Amino acid sequence: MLAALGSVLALTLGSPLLAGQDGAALSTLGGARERTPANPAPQAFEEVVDELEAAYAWLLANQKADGSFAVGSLQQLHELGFSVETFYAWQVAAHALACMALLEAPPTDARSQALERGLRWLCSTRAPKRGSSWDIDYVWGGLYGFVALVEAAGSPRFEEERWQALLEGGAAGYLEILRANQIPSGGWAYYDDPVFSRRPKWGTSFSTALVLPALARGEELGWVEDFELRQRATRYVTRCALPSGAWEYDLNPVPRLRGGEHINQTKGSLARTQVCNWGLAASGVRRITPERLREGLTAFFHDHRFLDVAYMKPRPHEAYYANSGYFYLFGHYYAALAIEALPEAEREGWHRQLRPHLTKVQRRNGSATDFLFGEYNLVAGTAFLALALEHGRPVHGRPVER
Amino acid sequence: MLRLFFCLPLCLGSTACLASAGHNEGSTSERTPRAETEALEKSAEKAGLQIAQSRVELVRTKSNRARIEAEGALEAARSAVDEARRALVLQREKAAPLALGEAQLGVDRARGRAEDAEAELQELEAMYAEEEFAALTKELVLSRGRRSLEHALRALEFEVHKLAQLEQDTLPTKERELVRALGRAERALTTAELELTEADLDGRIDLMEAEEKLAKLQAEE
Repeated sequence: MLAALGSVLALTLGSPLLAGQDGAALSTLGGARERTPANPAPQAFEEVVDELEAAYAWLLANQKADGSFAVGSLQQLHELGFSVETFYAWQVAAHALACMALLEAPPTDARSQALERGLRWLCSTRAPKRGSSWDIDYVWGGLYGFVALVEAAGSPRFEEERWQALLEGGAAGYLEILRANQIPSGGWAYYDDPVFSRRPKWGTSFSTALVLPALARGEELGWVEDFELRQRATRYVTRCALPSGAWEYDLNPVPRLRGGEHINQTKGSLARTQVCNWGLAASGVRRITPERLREGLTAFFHDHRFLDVAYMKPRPHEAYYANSGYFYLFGHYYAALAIEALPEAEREGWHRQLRPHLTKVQRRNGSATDFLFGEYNLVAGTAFLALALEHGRPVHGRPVER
Repeated sequence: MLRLFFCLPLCLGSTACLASAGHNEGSTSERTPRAETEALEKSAEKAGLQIAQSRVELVRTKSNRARIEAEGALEAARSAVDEARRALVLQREKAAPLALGEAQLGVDRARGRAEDAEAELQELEAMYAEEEFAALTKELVLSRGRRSLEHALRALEFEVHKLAQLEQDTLPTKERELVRALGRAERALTTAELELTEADLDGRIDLMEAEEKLAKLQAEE
């Protein structure tokens, strides 16, 4: 036991990813900012500019020579049980998120170069493959790989034909993962259950919702020819809606809601609610009205303590309402997107509430994680944090297509 | 009786010593052989009286002991009857209703699981029927759902059968056993009551005989 703990600590302390900006290695706790109250004072965008810049700087400093972010191998004993391929799939997904963050960042020469190198890597690296009978985490690579390349294709910075061709070619590999792994009821997830089959059978609301707007844009770009792909996925997410305003974790023929502390209660759905509301609203589903978005955000901030208490818990679904540590930054990113789907006049009020919940968990070196300390955790966490703050930049305003 | 054998040599021995002493003092004593014989007879009579008195005490002690033992056996028999009666009441009023309730709950749960499995399968079939897509994978999921329903229905059958067996066989058998046990305990109680009476009468008779013998010896003296 001690030997194992020692290995983890040595790995953690020795990683340059955890080094502070002054180069001094920081311990797991020392790297984090001091914990602030559960309901910190609202922050204006001007108050978080330094934190946002630090996140971008950390991403640039941790890009590899070949343009990639993170690594595709096991780094932490907590994750020993996953298939070997899964670590590569998580690297691809984290890398895609880093590209999305750099895409949203105000351009500088360094950021633009980093973004271009990152997109080239994302388009040229091999598509992840299925890791094992049950472990199909490669779907994460498909989801965020596709989302990132669609986002890039929509940017004026990559209008040139050579870029469009490169992005489309890269996206095709990720789209194929989605096509092959869409479950019969329309969703996507990352595990299969017996009887194991080529096409898996289990989906989740949040992993399906996050790709809906990208599929819609993919259709516009002509990258997605099978329109039923998105229709099925939309139906899947829509069926996960519960009368309480929460979203079922995974679609069941008869919704699961066993016990008062179940994950499908509102307090277990705080992060899921944001991505499901935004995913449907941003892909043109009219039932997600501004009022519905507001209800979701109100619950998010009212019950935020349940995300706070789950933050950095190393065991998945350990906290109340089965919240996991890794719900935190994911949920805050999609909360920022849900805010952006509201009328412009009310967005800043919501962003002011959101920002302190991001800055309070940012590490001194600019990075962020809400779960473990693998490179993919840090890259994805930092990207989520930067994206969430960036979407609150006052001039950002990007109306949701309806 | 054994004590009598021990006492007689003692008495006779001491008489012989007295006779020997008298013989040694022949020159000074005027006792004749006849006097010695009378002394011996008198001594024997005295010993017989003492034995008779001891026998009365012995009979009284034995009688008391027999009574105590018979009373203990009677108390134990009464307790056994109480226990057997309590076990029967417990079985009728608590254990049997609990076992039946538990078995009924098992039936209800199994029926609920079967209904859930059927509802889920119907929902799944309805959802899948909306679109032609992934037919092979759908068939895998549906066959899993059908198997789940079949198992749930079989489990329900088992639970219903277990309840019927409990009602018609297990509980009545158990009650019959307890009724029989109570009957055995009650008969044992009656026997113990009779044994106490017998012990009383035996003791009284033995005492009367011993006292009569003593009185007779005292009168002869």
